[in-house]
Formats: sequence, structure tokens, C-alpha cells
Amino acid sequence: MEHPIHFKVNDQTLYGIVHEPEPDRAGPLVVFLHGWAGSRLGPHRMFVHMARRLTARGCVCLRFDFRGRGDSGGTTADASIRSMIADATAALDFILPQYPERQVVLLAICSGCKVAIGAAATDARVGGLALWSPEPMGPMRDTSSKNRKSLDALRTYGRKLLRLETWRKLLTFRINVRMVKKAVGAREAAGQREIHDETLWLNQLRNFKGRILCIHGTNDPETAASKAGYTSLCSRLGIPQEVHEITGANHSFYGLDWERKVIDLTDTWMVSR
Amino acid sequence: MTEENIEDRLKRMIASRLFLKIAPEAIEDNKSLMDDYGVDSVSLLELVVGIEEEFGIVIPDEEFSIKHFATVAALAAFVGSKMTAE
Amino acid sequence: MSMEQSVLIPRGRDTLSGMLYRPEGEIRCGMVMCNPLFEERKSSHRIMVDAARAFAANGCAVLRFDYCGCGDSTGDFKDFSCPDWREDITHAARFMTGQIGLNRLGLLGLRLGASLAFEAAQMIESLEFTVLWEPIIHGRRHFDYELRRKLVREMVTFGQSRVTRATLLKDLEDGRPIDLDGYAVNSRLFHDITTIDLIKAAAQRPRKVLLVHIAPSGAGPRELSALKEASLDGGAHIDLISAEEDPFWNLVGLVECPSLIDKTKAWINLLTSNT
Repeated sequence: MEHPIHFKVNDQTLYGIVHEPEPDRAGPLVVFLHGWAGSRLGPHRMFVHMARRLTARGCVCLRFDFRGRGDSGGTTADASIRSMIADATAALDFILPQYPERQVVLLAICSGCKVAIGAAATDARVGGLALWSPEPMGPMRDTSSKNRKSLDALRTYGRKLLRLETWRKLLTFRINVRMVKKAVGAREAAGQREIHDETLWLNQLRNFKGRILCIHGTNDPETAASKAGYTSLCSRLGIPQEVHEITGANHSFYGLDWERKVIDLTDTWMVSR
Repeated sequence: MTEENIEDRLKRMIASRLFLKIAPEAIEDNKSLMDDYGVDSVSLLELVVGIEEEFGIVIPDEEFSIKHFATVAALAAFVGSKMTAE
Repeated sequence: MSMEQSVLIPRGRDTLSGMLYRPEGEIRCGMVMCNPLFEERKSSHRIMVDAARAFAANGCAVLRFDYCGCGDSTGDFKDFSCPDWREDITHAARFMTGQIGLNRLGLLGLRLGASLAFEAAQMIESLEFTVLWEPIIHGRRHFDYELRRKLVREMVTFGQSRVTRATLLKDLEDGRPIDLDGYAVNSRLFHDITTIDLIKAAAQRPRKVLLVHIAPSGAGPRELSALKEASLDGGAHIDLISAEEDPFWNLVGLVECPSLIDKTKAWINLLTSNT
């Protein structure tokens, strides 16, 4: 059975869907964490398909939209990995009392994986991490990845700040140029803060007592750095890790066969816990 | 039409159609469109459609190769070759 | 401000998932928003939410919903096609009429959602108005564009596209489904999309329609002008405007469309205050 839910974070309402199994079926409580530009559906509805498969096995699943994304309140411009971790924590605060006996697994894709790591590092309730296309964090990041990220940030922020309407206002002195520059500069400074935070969360992951599943696409340009980074991290911290590569897959597994493989592997891992 | 003209037209089109919001003349010929200017698969589709409309050429499916879209210089050479052929 | 509520709409053996945006004060009208398909649905999601909130704050109750096999609604994508989704729109419209207790109802669609809304409008007797944001006039041309999107994504993933439009179309014409970047497209859906021709299907009875051409600047709405002319022949009352916005259904990241939303709001205000 699937039913819509909502919960609050700092006066903003976040919307989601809970998938419940047949009564008396046991299994983990799986909370889905989407990527930066995504929603609770996941790429090409991948989260919906995964949740329905896991629920058939007895899991309870919660898919929700982070603040500023999907149907939830808040603005995209105000979102950050930190705010997304706060949202994930609030999701656990909301759902766990209803299923107190179930172990929590965070299932995440792309930058949602950073949120999962940050949450697991600081929240003892998290018992497992399933990470699809985890992105390099902190010291794992190489230069080209950093450039791509800051270009993405600048482009999306730049689109807002450099709209034709904004330039019209600039020309008629209806905008404070200093404030515009400050906002763009703030975004770049935020990137440096994120790297610092990510390094901290990776170190705090020593507190995590669960297991980690990592699935990468071989045609994802971030796989090489990411796979090496997370394998090294798990080895260093003694975290049991299972790693898979999907041959030919890109970052968001844009293909039916790739999606199927990711879902099968995750399903098997979830059951084997 | 000389390659230089093609490059200027490409830069104007890239700046406006790909919503980069930077001056066309600031786009460098040999910098990576993807790594240095953040062009992704979504904007590449706009670029393909834009090139066909702007230059009156057809890009056959068999010639969808990333090497033609790597830089403005590579794109200009590719567009030039299609215009000569048609 | 408005009140937001998740809703589930029974639809035979299926259930449509949606969000209802209810104005705090007087409800002047209701509107059902019809999503585009494939990646355009994902990219446009937040703009559709922003628009729904803006319309509701202005007195127009809004229902956003997912078609069967899409979004949070039940069913698998491969099992549904355009006729099913047009039926979904009529179900959503009936639900909305029941919710707001008013007969003043409209549809708003984006891209293929606008095409579906245009055709579904003829199935909803009490419908008062239709807003079409950059509708797909010719389905064949749009499907070709979607195939090219797949080729471009392959080029970025593999360095070179591994398939051609010709091979993909041959598969579909021979009854074999294709993988459109994670969406299973079968011959039925291919046929139903590629036979969309809004000019031929121009409204047969008087309707109030707002056609909106969305582009960053410059190019005039040639195809939409042709649709306007064809619809006028059918007796419809059509307004055609342009909104200078980026094609947000093709963009990832922080996007806003104030001009589009404001112009649409103004048209709805005029319509609902005149009668």
C-alpha cells in the first residue's frame, strides 16, 4: 500500500510517499535520498520501481522531496548538502516512531549519497547505506570534478542572476550590483565549505556500524575517483563494503537494462543483510 | 564562407542557445565545451538543432561523435566540412 | 498563500497521485495541470509547482497529478499510452470539480501535456478554458527530437552514438519496443505520439484558449499561429502570446519563469472576472 505523507522542517513542509508491505512482513526501513536536481521519483522513476520491489519483499520505504525540490516547500537556491542532511534527519524523526523495530537503510543516488554519508556519520540510527553513483567527497575530489561542480553552480546561479530581466534592472540601477557579486562569490565560498564538511563527515563515518553497498557505472566519469575513494575509506574504517560496476552505464543509469541490474543488485544486498 | 566566420557564428549561438550568458567573444576556440563551459547532454541537443538551423546543414546520426563537439575549433571544422559537402 | 494537500484519485484499478493547491480565500476557478513526458517532466517539475502555488495564491485552485504509469501513480509506463492519459485528464477534471464545488474549470498543459490537454478538452463538457504552454503540434517531429536526445546522450556516454534514428524507428515499426533512456517505448505509444496533429484536431466547439509560445527571445511562434488559425475556424476564442523564458523543460538546475506565470495569471484573471 502506498500513501502520501508530509512532515515539517523549519516551518517548511516536505512531501513524500510511504510504501507499506503486507502485514507481518519484516524487512528494513529504507529511506530514499534523491540527487541535487532530482526528486523523490529518482531518474526515470527508478526510486519508484526500487521501492515497489523492496516493499514486495517486506521493507517499508519512504521517498521524499528535499526542501526546494519536487513538491516540497522552500527554495532551491537555499538548499545545500547540510540542509539536505537536516531534511534526511527529519525524515527519520518522522517515520521511525511508526516502525521502531526496523533497521534503517539510506538508499541514495548521486549527490544524495553525500547526504547519506553525512547523515550516517552523525546519526546512530542509520544501519546501512546503499549508494548509487556516489560522488567523490572531500579529498577524493579531483580537479576536473571540482571544476565541473563549480561550473554547474555558477551556471545555475548565473542563470538566475544574469537573466535578461536582471540586466534590464541593472541598467536602470534597480539592482544592487554589490549584492549580486556577493551572491555569486558566496556560492564559490560555499563550495570550499562543502569540501571541508565532506572531509569531516568522511572522518566521522568511523562511528557508523553498518554495511555499505556501492554501485557505479563504468561510463560515469566520476567512477574511477569515487570507487577508489570509497573502497579505501571502507577499508581504513573497517566497514563491510560490497562494490559493483554496471558495464556501460552512465551516471544516472539512463537505460532499462542498467536500471534493472542496479535494482536486482540492491534487492539482493538488502535481503542478504 | 571562411572558418573564422563559422567560429564567430558558433560562439554567438553557443552563448545564446545554451544559456551560458557569457559574451560570445569570451568563448575560446580550443577550450573544452564540456569541461570548461559546462555543456552537458541536454544542452548538446540544443546545439545540434541550433547548428542545423543556423547553417542549413544536416548532421547524420552516424556522425554523432563527441570529437566533433569537443571545442569550438573542432565544431567549426566539422560544420565547415558539412557545408562544403552539401 | 494557499493550502496544499496530497491526493489520491481512484481510476479504475489504478490510482492517480496528485497535489491539490487550494486558495485560502474565495475560489474563482479550478485548473488541472497536465505534465509533459519523459525527461521534460523531470526538468519542468519545479516550475509547475511554482506555477500552481502562484495560481492558487491568485484564487485559482490547482490540481497537479501524474498520469498512470508515471510519477507516483500506479502502473508501469510501458502499459499506457496517450488515450489512457487523456482519460486520466478527464478523471482528474471530474475529481477537481468535486473538490472545489465549482463548474469553472480549466486545463493547463506543458509540451506533450498541452497536446494531451488540447485533445482531452473536447471530452470534458463543462470545461471553460485551456492554457497551452508551448504545445507539441506535430507528434512525429517531437518524437524525432526525443530520439535525437537519446543519440546525444549515447554520444556523451560512449563517445559516439551506437544507434541511429532509422534503426530505432525500424524496431518500433516492426513491433519491437525501444529503450528511450530508461523509458520503455512500444509501438502503441510510438503510434499514438507520432499521430498527434493538433492542427487537424483543432477544437470543434467554442472554447477559450490561451496559446503561449515560450522562447528566450526572437523567433516568432509560427506553428502556434497556424494552430490559432485552425482553431478559430472551429469557432474557438484564442489568444496567442509569447513569454520570454528559457525552455525550462530542457534545463537542469535553478530556473524561474516569472513572465510566463504572470502572463498566464493575468489571462485567467481577465477571463474569470469578465463573466
